[in-house]
Amino acid sequence: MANYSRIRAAASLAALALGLVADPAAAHEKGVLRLTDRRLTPGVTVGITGIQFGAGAALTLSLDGPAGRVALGSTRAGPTGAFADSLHVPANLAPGAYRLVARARDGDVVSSLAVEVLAGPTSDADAHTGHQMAGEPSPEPLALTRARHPAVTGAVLAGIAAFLLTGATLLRRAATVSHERN
Amino acid sequence: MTPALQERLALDALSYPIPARANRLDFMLGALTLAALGILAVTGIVLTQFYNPTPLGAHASVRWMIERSALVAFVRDVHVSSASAALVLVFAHLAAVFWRRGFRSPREALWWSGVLLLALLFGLAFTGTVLRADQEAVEALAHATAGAALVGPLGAPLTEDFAPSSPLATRLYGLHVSVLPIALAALLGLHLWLVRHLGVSARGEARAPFRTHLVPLGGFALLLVAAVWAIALAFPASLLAPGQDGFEVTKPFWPFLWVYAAENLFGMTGMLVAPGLLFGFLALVPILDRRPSRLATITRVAGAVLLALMVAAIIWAAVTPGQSHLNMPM
Repeated sequence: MANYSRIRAAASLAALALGLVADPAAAHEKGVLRLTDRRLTPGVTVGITGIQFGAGAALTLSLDGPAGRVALGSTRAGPTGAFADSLHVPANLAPGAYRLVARARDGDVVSSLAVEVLAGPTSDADAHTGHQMAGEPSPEPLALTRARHPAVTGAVLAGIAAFLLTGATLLRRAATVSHERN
Repeated sequence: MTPALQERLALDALSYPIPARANRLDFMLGALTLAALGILAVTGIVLTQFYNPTPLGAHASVRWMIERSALVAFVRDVHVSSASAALVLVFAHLAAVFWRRGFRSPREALWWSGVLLLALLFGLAFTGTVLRADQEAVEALAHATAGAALVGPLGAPLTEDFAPSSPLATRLYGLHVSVLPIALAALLGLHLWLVRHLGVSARGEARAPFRTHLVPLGGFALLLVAAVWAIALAFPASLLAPGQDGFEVTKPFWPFLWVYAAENLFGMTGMLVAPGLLFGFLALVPILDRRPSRLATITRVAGAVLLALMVAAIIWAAVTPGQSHLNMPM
């Protein structure tokens, strides 16, 4: 009986000690991520769902792998701890084995999922853009290679010229009418 | 146009008399704002076909527009440049009407509907900024959420907890493409109705048919479209990296820089005090300036000072180094 009391006291003390030293971040509820397809093609958008996260938990998603940590953006779980969103795989992401990682606001990993990034078709534009690494945020615009097409540029320039000419003609006509009336 | 067509389309209704003086540019600024809003509506409808309003998909869809489609990228650039044009024109219109005291009896309601339209335009500009989901968007949203917390239950719709089943960014998209445009259209209808029936506040006895007004107005509107297209081509709209919570490294879209300057000076309360001061003053103008008096003169001077302060604040905020307002790392 005495032994039983001692064991119970020791267990209580151990539990208390564990409670004191436990990392508060461990309080994060670990969720489960699901993708519509775990074989990701660069440049393609896939559906993503999550369940069993904390209610209203803010989550930051990234792909960790051969290309380092590639930031994908943020989302938020609903009141039931679930979310549904869409995930865009950066167009020029290096192929290989990655982990899709969800982190809580304080940076703790709350879920991850093994995925495979396939070798995707890379356009000339992609070659210059570079994917966004999860580093310090910057106020500088991304150095994106803008899509250009001679037909679009030509049509825009022609449109500007046409609007200028027609506008000036209308204004000249209005001035003439006003002058004649006076 | 043939008389037969004119009769069948009831175009004679456009021949009602208006002051001849209204054919000047300073009386067309409101209509030119409307033209800019028309460009925004058309380009906005096109952009809805390519934009993904989910938190994770938004940034990638904007990036897709820029990198993959020359035409959609140009439409987006025109959308952004016409938003700036609309805000410049609406302030010019406001200043012109204020200076010629176009708010005096019987046009008080016309003025107040204009003030509400200005507030809606700021709402559209803010929600439009947030849709990019880049660093500037995330910080704008963080500021708005912090400001919403200061006004208690009134600011609840701007918090994630208001509707936990739907992300705030997606709800703001709904505001940008439906609620605010519908409110804008309804209020514009009232504003135009009042303009039609109360007339513009132009001095002089000379009259001219309204249809003659449409010729120079069309001319200026086409020049506006040309300018907006040229600016879109020369200065395409940028995109920052996907936004990260908890940082303050950017400055807002230029029409909000005067609010940013107030935050620099007075902290987060500046974000509420500065717009409160502007819109409170604008709302009081028809009450303070009813007839020639000392109070009317003071109101006019105060309006001029307020406008000068806004312009100075925008320039100051643009050139001064960024500051943290939410105690976040910079």
